[in-house]
Amino acid sequence: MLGLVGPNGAGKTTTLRTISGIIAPTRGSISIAGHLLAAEPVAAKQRLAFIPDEPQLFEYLTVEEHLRFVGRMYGVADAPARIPALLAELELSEKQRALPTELSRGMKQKLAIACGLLHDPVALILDEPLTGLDPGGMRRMRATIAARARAGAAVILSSHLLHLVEELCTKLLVINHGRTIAYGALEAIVAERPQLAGRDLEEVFLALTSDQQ
Amino acid sequence: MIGALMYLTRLSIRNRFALQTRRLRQPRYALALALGVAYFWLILLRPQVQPSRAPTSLWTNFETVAALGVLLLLVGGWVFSGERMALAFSAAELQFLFPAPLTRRGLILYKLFRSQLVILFNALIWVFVLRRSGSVLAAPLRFVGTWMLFTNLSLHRLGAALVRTSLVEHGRAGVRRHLPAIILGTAGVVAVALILWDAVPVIRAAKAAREIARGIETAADLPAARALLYVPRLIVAPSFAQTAGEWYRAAWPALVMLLLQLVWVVQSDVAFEEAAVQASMERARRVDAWRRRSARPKPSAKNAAKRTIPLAPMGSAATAIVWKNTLLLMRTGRVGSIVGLAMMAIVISLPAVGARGLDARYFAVVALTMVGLLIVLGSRVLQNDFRQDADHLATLKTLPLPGAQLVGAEVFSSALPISVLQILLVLVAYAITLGDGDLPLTLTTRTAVLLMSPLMLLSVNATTVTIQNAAALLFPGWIRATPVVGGGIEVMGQGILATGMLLLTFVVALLPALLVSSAVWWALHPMPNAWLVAVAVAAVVLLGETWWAIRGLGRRFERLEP
Repeated sequence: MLGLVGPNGAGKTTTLRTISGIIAPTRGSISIAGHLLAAEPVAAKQRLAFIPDEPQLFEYLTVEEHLRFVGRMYGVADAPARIPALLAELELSEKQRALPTELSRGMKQKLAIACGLLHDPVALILDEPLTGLDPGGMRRMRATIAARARAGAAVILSSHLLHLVEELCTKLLVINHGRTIAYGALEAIVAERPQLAGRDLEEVFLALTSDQQ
Repeated sequence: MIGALMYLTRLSIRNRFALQTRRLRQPRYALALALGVAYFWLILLRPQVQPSRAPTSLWTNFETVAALGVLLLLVGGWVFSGERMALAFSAAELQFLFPAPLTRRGLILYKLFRSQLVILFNALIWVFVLRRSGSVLAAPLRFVGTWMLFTNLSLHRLGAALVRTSLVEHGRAGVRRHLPAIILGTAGVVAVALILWDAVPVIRAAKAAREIARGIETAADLPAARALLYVPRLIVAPSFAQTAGEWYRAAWPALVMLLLQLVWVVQSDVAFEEAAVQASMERARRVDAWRRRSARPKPSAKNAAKRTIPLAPMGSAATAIVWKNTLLLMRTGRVGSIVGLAMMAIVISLPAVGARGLDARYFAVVALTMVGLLIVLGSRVLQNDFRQDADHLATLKTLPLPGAQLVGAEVFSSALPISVLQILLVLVAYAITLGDGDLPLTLTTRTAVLLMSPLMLLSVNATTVTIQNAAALLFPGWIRATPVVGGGIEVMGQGILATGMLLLTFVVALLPALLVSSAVWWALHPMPNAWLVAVAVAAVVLLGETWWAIRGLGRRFERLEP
């Protein structure tokens, strides 16, 4: 699990959108599970899930229909069996016939996450995944994300909730103005900078980004 | 506080103007502006060929009708609940001004001030529009007269909305507070009902338009009507004055009405905040739906969502796009817009009504006219494709689907329902003329056309829909698939430009098909019904062109960035 952190405008969302194939990289290449995004976009996207900070849902599809749509798109043969379980896991069972206009911000976010998880992606890209969730929802979502990582999925998570990043992520990528400031496990980053010894991620983050500015 | 509100207004106007000016650096917006200006010039400013004429009958006869219209608008403010929209603010105004240390009166004054910007612009437009109507009054006086008319209407609408809000809020106490306004409003409603009661039998008995007009004039001349139209006449009189002297005499009463209404509105200390929030949300929803061309689900969609279409988990992924778009079609008002085309078809086909009246042949003509209208306008009306999905570009780009398949599925989502509707209409026309032996085409030819219609119609519809989608994909700045911030004259120009370009592209796309089919017909024309083969070949060529275009658009989609 990689935590992508940086101040506003650092380029976190741009990075995640590039990895997801939404925007093309100006240089370099992106590979998902061994498939180059530029050369094999379909195969690469098949193994990927991108959950944006602002859920982009189809206003005229119900909760369940969103999942059926995703199931067909990604060829999930056992989608009809998995959908009820996923809806239950994300506490959306009662809303399965609701349109997005009838959902709260948090429920929309849960639906976007459910759509991302249905096809068991090997790479899960999450941009501010806990936005709009209540404390209970946040806790369950943390557990869901961690479970996916334990099951073998690579997770890239961008968030301003640094305690969440510190708790979940094994590695950190700190960026600012589109450039890498620090990369590695928190302990390794701190070890390279003795002046940051004993500080938590929030203090490390502030020190790194203020140095940059 | 007034200073802050003035600052907000001044900067909003300045920045909007600056945004539009900056956009003009791009050739497409500059060209669009030139077209928009040319359109305005043609419609509003073009020099008159004839010098100003003497007052026409329009100006002398229309005053009563205008007064009646104003009366209905004034009464409407009291009757229709939709009039609470007069209290609507923008989302940003709601967020910043409502929690701000601003009195209700301050908010109302701000609302009045902002509405003046729109009213002044509208008054200016009307001065230009009416300059060809035969009015001989000087333009500045016409402008002030129109401004007073619009301001009076705006003030009354706002005042009525405030009173209605107060009644809902305070019940009996509200009734007591606004008793004079309520009495006047109720009297207006009752009097309109009485006038209509007298006028309707005369109008119903009328056999010609002149008699209908006479009926309305007679009804308007009734004592109750004269009394009721007194205030509306005062308001419209300056707009209909024909000389400066008449105008000055008419302007004072209208100005007094304006000031009285201003005092009434400003003095209304009504807790309108909650109603304003509701009205603002409703306005935002309507604006959003309009910008997205009704792609938002209607309230009834909540029930419609219970009906769905099965989708197997395995199979072509592109089918899922068509499935999704078909659900959109079922749950939005898109199908309703086809009704407008049907009405057009009924009207256009009226000359086909024969001596036998509305017979089967007339309905066949209506059905075939509708097919023609769907060919020309179907792809513009039923935007069940990439144009409505443009807001979801980021989501679409993450889907594991090659660009060409996705674009093809989007095109098919629109072309298929249009074609199905057309084929049904052709079938109806065929069925109801089965026994008609007096038609220019024989039954054999008609049957051949019916059998070929799926291929012909699908090819033409796929072409027109592809062109529309190509415009949205290749020139997103020219074709407004997504909401545009800060519209203006160039937005209108963009519309003209886009329509012209799309029409031209369709004609160009038809050329290869026409050339090939002409060659086929020339080679086969000694054969009976050789033209049917030629048409089938044209359809195949069109489909080939469309397939080639979709492949190119797929590559474009893959490079497109939100």
